[in-house]
Amino acid sequence: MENIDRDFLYATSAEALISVARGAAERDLVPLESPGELGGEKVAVVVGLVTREPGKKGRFLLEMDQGLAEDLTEGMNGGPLDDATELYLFSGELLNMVGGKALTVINNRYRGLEYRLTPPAIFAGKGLEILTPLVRSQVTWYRGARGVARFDVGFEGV
Amino acid sequence: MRVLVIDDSPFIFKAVKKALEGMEGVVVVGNAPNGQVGLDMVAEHHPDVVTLDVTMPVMDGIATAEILASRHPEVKVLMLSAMGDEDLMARAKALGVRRFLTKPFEAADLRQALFSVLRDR
Repeated sequence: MENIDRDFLYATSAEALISVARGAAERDLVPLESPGELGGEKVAVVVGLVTREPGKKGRFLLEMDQGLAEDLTEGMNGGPLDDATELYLFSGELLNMVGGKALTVINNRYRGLEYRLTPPAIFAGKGLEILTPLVRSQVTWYRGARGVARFDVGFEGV
Repeated sequence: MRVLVIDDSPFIFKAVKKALEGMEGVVVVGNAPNGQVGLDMVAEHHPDVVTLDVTMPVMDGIATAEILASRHPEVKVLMLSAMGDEDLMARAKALGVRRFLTKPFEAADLRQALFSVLRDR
């Protein structure tokens, strides 16, 4: 397989986040030039990336102010959500679609890589700290109508 | 047209129901959270079409499509997935899945895809 351009992986992932926010939620996420600051209450989603090749793996981690998560998922729902469970499940589906969109482009670009997604894990609370060491990653920040998001994209073994 | 949604995402089930709301002659007969439950519901509800997610717990979409082709060849399958790379689509096609729609999808695209797959022989 040809050498993999990590910048392409990161850029494709970032484009997928913005595209899915607009397509599924009808919301715009604006990239921030410098790191933002998340508020107290957060919603975070993690999906793992796996392949058949040992060592080639990764993950997408999306941390959002709870207000932003609510705004995005309300956009997906076309209106207010029924309850907190819907907020978390819809947030999981949001990152699932982001990951899917990114990996479709990446897998088509690098045939044979065949990344697949693990089911999302969703975390919510105040003062949440999520660490995912051992994976080389890039972090980008975004602002939405009701808060800030931190998108941490990691690919290892490529 | 009787439609069964096999997908573990409540968002997708809502989105499919909303897209088909008010359409004459179209009924969403239920939602299965995985392929195993989906196969039971196909036997119970006799849908014309299933929308089938790929990544699901217990039994994924590819395994489900394979069993559907064998046990219920009369049921048409529209695969809905966040992923749409060529290798995945080729695997699905080899199992008889004729239509594939990536998420997120527009309601109009879903409706068109469902009617299109229903017309397939």
